[in-house]
Amino acid sequence: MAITISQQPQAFTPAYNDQYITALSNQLAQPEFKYKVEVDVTYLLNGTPTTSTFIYFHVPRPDGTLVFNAMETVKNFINHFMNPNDFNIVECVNSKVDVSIDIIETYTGGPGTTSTITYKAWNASLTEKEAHYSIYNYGDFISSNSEIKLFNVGKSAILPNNIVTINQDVFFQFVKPADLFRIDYRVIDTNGVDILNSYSYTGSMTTNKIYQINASPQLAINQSFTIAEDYFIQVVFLKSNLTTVIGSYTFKIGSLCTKHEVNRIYYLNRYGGISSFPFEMLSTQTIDLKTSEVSLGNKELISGVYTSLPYKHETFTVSTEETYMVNLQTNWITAQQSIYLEELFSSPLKWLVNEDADYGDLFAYVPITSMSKQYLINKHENMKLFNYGIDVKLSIKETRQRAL
Amino acid sequence: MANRLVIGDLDNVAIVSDLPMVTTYSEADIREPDKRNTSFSKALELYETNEINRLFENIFQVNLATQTFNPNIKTSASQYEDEVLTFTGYLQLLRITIKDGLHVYSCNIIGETGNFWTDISNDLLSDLDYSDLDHDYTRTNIINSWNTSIIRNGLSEAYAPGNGYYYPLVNRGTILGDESIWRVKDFIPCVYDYEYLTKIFAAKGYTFDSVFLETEFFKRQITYPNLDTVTLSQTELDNRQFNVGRLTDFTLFNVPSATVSSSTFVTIPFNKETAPFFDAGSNFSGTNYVVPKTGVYNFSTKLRLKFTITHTNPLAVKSDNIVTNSGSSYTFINRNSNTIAALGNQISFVFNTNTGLSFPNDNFKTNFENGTSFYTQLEISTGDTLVNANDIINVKQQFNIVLTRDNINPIRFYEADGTTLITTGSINVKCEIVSDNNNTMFYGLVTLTDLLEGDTLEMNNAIPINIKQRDFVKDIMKRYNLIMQPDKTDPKKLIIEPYYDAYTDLSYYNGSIVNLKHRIDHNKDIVVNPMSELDAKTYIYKYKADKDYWNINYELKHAEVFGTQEENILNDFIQQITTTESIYSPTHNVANYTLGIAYPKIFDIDGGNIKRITPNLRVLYAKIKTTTASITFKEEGGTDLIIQSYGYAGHTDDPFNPTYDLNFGLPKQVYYSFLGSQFTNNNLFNRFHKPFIDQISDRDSKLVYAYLWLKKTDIESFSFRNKYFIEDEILGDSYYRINKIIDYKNESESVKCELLKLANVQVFTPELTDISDIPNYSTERTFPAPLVTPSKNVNVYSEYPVNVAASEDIVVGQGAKYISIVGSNGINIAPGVENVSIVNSSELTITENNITYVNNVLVPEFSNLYAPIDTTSTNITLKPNAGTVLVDCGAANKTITTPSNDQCFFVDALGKTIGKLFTIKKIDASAFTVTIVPASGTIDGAANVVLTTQYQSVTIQTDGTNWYII
Repeated sequence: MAITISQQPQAFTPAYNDQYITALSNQLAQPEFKYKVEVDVTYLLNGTPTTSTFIYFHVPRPDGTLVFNAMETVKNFINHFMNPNDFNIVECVNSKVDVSIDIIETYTGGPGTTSTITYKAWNASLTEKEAHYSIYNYGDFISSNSEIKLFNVGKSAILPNNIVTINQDVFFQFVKPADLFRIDYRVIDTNGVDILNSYSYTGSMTTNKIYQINASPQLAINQSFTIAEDYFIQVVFLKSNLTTVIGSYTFKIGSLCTKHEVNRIYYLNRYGGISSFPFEMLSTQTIDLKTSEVSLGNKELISGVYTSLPYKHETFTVSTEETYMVNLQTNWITAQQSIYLEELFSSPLKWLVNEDADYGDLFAYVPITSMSKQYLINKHENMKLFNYGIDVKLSIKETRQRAL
Repeated sequence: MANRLVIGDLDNVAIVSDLPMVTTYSEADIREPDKRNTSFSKALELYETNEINRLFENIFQVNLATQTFNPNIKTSASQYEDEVLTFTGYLQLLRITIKDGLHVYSCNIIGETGNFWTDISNDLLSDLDYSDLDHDYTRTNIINSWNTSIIRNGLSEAYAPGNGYYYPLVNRGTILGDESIWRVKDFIPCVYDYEYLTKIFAAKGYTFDSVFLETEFFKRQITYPNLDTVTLSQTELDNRQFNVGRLTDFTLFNVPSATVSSSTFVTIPFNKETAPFFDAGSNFSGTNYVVPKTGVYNFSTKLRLKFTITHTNPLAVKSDNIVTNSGSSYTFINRNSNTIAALGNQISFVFNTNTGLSFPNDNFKTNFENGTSFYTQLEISTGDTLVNANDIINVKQQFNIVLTRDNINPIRFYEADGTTLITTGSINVKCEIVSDNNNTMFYGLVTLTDLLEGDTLEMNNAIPINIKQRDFVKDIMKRYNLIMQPDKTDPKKLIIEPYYDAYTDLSYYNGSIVNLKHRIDHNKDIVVNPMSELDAKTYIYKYKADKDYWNINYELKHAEVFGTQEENILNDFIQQITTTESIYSPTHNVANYTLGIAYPKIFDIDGGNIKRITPNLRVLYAKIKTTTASITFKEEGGTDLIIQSYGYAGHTDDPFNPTYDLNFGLPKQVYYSFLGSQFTNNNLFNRFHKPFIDQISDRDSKLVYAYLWLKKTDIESFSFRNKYFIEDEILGDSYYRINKIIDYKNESESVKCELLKLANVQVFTPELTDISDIPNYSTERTFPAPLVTPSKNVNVYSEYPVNVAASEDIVVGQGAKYISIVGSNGINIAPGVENVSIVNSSELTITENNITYVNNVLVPEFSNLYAPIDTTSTNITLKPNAGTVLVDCGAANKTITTPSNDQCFFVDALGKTIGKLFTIKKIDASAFTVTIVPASGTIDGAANVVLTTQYQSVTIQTDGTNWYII
């Protein structure tokens, strides 16, 4: 009795891509033979590791094999994670889950042998080109002791233009490799040489879990570091010897040269991290108002003169529903930068932040939905620079006093 | 508007936000809750999220074996609008559609009221456990149930209406004569409807909140079960019944002789009680079964006997035929050393290996082999037998047989040549009862499974059968026009109140008064319907017909079921008839003028005889009553108790001066009439249904459809119970009930509502009517009935024929007529009876001798007038019950012998000798004679009497010693 596994997910597998397992038993002749596939997914439920089990029974395919795709099961336990308010090292809860799949021969008089496959699935939905089994290598996406891999569009780059504004959040999300000991946040002078201030992110980490840090200039302000435009912020990942750097990212503090309000859209990228893209040009906002006119009695008038007899009806507007549409325009961007925009366009989760703090004094993350259904990619060699506009709808509700 | 639907429980929860939920509340749902299943039902589609996929466990994958989610079981669901709970119920997954790569779960969400009806499903009343109410079936517990205490969990619990059970005085055909004598067996327990409701709700995790159901009026109601009697539980039966066998062969005798003669009986031991045998009550030990409880049993035994014949001479090889039909054997089943079943002379076998030759044939030899065994099977049963607790039952065997070769001569043995006679040595016969699971056993089975006094009454055996909980609850709602809705804050708590109880001014609609000022949306149509909900011209409220004598009689006379109310509405446009019929049947109170009571009698009368029936359910109002007459409540083995209070239960709270009547309408006839007794019109129709009819048939009633601006908080606090004050310059200001809220989406849109203008209702003031004013009131008496046999403790008081058989402890009351008692004992005959005959019975106490009896009892004037007449043409010995014998001599003289003298006379209570008369008459014209020979003694001093001529006759009578010609 034996099961031969000929295909299985790698140690780290994107949760939203196929996770095929191909197996063949040598007990197919047994009466009532079936493959029993038991998928155990371990995730955090209210902070407690919890294992959820799904059981499938598969009759062998005509060639006797089992072909099983665990994706539909595993992805249900994946959560998206973003916490802009925490400047420490925070675990991206359920951005990664542990998967254990038992393939069991079942038949009358069974069961037979069990083969177990274990792997980790994380919150990624790679392109067919990236995830194709012939070329997929989880090392291209998952940090190792020699190199940090960020869940970002550029993997190594973090921002499309390497400029960070004062109020901008810069999210790093990554898998902690075994030998990642410390992450430093440094403020470097305008020459990009001297470290003016340094801060080590706090928080414990466990190998193979996904963590987030926020390298916003606001962290420097919180730490009372002196910062100014043209200073640099550097994030450095150090091994336990505190000398070997396995990741270093530097970006310049600057203001976006614009006469307009800066709107930035943060979005979930396909690697599971949070990227952002600025819209620096003229934006417009449209407000649609939905109203209902009703006739009501006027007896609520406290003072003044009635226009009609008491208890007669007068018409009021009693209900409003305001819908906000925003048109956003990018600055001139390069084709390289446009990949961030392309990612943004298809992302399922997007938030709009007005860096001029329109919403009270908070830099509120406003959930938005994209109203644009098409995205034009300019391939022409002569058009290295271009700008782009999109329409988004804000998921906010404004209310007014009701006459009822 | 932000709304969210929370699906699932505990850790397995999915939250769906901003669903386009639509909520509908409908009064019609509440009025017919089980039909519509719910106060709210809505189909919706849920698009997949990780949470929803997890909740449903990816059920769309066809190879999946779900572990937790079960589409056949409800999943809880709650809807919040801006965190205001606007709906609680459950979700049912219908199907999954894969649309544009997304899984769409099509679901129904259903309100909590539907949840209750779904939960009780098709469960039966008898599916609930009532064992906490188990108690001893005794006089004390019966009397206590009337107003002192009940037993729950083996402990006494103070009496309270609605709590536990009640033993009503109902004659179900067991009190056959003197109704002033009651016995435990005449009563069966009835569980309070309140107790049933409590158990039904609790079993599914529900409670009810109801002023009405907590009233004494409701709590005093009991359900008389659709049972003829209460039977023993299987456990009780198991603890009484036994079947025992033999582990090993048991040697009855082993004698060095072909003659087996035993003057004593061997009591046969049985020592195997393991399967297939049983004795769960451990009542059998050694040879004896000790009867654990008085009752009617059938005892049987099967014995497989093995006879082994050996000859001490080893040369004995052949023998003559061997037969056993010379001699006798007896197998007895004994009760306390008295035989209750006997089997005689059944042991016979023939050893004859050469058929075709008949006895005697000395020349024929069998191929006998030393040690040959012969088998025979004995079987005997007592049939239905009444035995008492602690009686000892056992099996005895006796033999008196001789093995011969031809019924006369001893067996001869031969050597192998078949001719050399064996002359030395002796024959040995051994008889064993063989260990054989199929053919050797002794068992006793209970054949009358009725509960008897002193038994443990398991309440689960006294519950109505085949009655669904759904129908039970629904019927209560129908009878009292109740409305049920879940509590807003606790969906497992159901609010139940009547539509309107005109007697107590209690109503489901006594909710808050809500001021919905300025809420009518005048941009939309307002529709006003006069005559509101009127849907029929005739409304009939009635109970279900039943087959007891009084219900049949009433229905035949009045062409309707007792207690029916028919209400006709003045309306020229509607012709429909709406009938509300209870699953219960009405119950008549029938007078007993001697006792001064009227109480339910539930049996039929067939051909002048009482016929017990299995009645339909009855709802009765239970309340102890008192009479000035004395009632004897007997207890087996105890002293009689004289009582004047009794456990009344009927369709009124008091048959003579009632406050309530559980009938829908006024009766057209009652079966009692006492001076000053009255009847009330405070019945179910006037209290609970008339207000509703008045409301919907009011010529000024209005049903208004208008769009109202309702806030989510209005929805949250919405209740059909509330009165809504709505002002309008066109309609006018008025109070309404909101019957329906149709498709409420959110507070940004006005919602269509159905409003019922509230009419003024009148508090009902009952009126009492003298019974004599009820047309056709009747004082018809009950008819008698035959008794189910065998039975114990029988009262016979009847002016109509009653037959009693195979029973014990019979009282024939004063005034009884035409009573026949056969094969019974313990008979007490009161004075003043007529035409009572007792046959083959014993233990008689006869107060007056105006009766007939045979064997032990005769009624002389009766026998003078009537006597059996038979014709014979053979020599016979007269039987004791013979009367006149006509003898046809034919071609020979005939001899007629009298019965044994001692069978033909007795000495009565006054010491007078009473002798039986026999008349013998020669009817043929031949010269042959008829000789009458006394069994003992002489006839007029001679050895016999001879009749020689045609039509000559002689009548003889014995004084016990001799016979005399009369």
